[in-house]
Amino acid sequence: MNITNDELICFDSIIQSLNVSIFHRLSCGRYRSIGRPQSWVVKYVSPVGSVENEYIISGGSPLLECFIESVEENRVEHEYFVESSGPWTESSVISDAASFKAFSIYNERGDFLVLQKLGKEFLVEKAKLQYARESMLTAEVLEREVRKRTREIRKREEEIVMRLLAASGARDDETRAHVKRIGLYCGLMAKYIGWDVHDIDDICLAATMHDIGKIGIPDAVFLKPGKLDSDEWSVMKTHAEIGADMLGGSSVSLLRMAEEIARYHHERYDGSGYPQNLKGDEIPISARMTAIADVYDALIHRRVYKEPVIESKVVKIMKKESGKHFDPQLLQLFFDHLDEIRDIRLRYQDI
Amino acid sequence: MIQKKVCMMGYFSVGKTSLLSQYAHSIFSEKYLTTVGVKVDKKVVTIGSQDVTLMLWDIEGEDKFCKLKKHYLRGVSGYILVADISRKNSLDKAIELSDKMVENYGNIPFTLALNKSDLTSQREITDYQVKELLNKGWDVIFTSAKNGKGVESVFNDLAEKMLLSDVG
Repeated sequence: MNITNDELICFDSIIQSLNVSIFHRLSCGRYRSIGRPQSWVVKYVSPVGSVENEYIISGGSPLLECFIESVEENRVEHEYFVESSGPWTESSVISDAASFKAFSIYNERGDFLVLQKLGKEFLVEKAKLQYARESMLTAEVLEREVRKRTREIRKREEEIVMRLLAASGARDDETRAHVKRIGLYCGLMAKYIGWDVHDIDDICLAATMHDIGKIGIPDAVFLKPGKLDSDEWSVMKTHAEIGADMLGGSSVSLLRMAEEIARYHHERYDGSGYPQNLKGDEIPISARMTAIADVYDALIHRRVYKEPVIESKVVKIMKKESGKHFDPQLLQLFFDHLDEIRDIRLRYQDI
Repeated sequence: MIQKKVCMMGYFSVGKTSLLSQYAHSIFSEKYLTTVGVKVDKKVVTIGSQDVTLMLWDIEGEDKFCKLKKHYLRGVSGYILVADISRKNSLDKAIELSDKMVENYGNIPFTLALNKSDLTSQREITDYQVKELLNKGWDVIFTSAKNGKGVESVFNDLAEKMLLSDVG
């Protein structure tokens, strides 16, 4: 290649402007400079004895050393590449910083190492990155604030629902802890079938209102000791629709879900339930989940009219109802996570 | 003298540079200045009767803008994972980084610094999460680059572990 003197001067002015030093790799760790090396480069390379323009890496930058070792190790014969070290900054925290970058280039013209002292463009890039990361931090702070506010609103909703339930269920033996547990069992099932967080939060609260319609049942039936006759039983069964009507007509997703749970949680998978004898998937999934949660919790706890049933027996009883009373897949899912169900049960005990 | 390469690793803005600067120079600044690339500092510590030079690599936080380059970790002897107690996602990132480190470098010594521990009212990382990590055998130290709490311990504990792993 014939290069004129003018071209050499031109090349030299370019490398000075870019603040780069270019070296031709002669062998592993040995380089010959192309053009005049920058003054700052002495920190990183040392001349090889008296051989003109030949250098070795001097160890002035741990990053440069690691970079070159890594390039040498991964070098594949006849495979062109351009590798960048990424920037490194030379400074103590008290002095002005200077940043540098190295490139290893292998192409049809040869094998090169380029060292560059980074200038204004790098500072601009750094400022952009600083801005981007500060924006991400601000977004995180805002997200946290939204989450905090949402939690507060949810807590307020829960408090209102619990107080309404306490009022409506004052005649019942169902406790605050019982309805809370049912909501949480349902929330757990919803999580494992992949519902989004918003819907999980909704069912945790909506399921607690499944029996709210009992408020509309006359005392003569509701508080009657002993068995109900068939007319009284028909009255009792209306609590599902009374509850649904109380909750119905809302545009709030939580109340819409609460309405369907209240209306359908006594439907049975085989179609023998009430009020509409719905079957299988005709029954909204929220109500199918609540049916499982409600029966499990009722069986396993003491009631004024019954002793608690041990868990293994509860599982046995409920498994017998798989496909009859309960959705078999949901029931299996419920039992697959019995450890977590048990945790909820133990955490929220009747007082 | 024994020399050990220690990498500071973690999500952006968790305080890696501040911890290092507090440790090596006793300096702290409230202003967040992002690290681009790598800055290497060093400090000599005495462990027992042994002087050890710690080559402290402050590596830019990994995020959607910057991915960790492999040669940054070449020859690493130990690392400090840094998370910010007021940002739960920074702990998730630290756990992810630790998994990557184990996958690529095996079980080399590390310590988790739960930094910004002075921000108690904004704490998001729970005692339960810390307990889970302790149960996994992690060394967890609460630090504050701002008031210096736990800073010496993080580096000195890691230095001790690195020396022990040499003996082992």
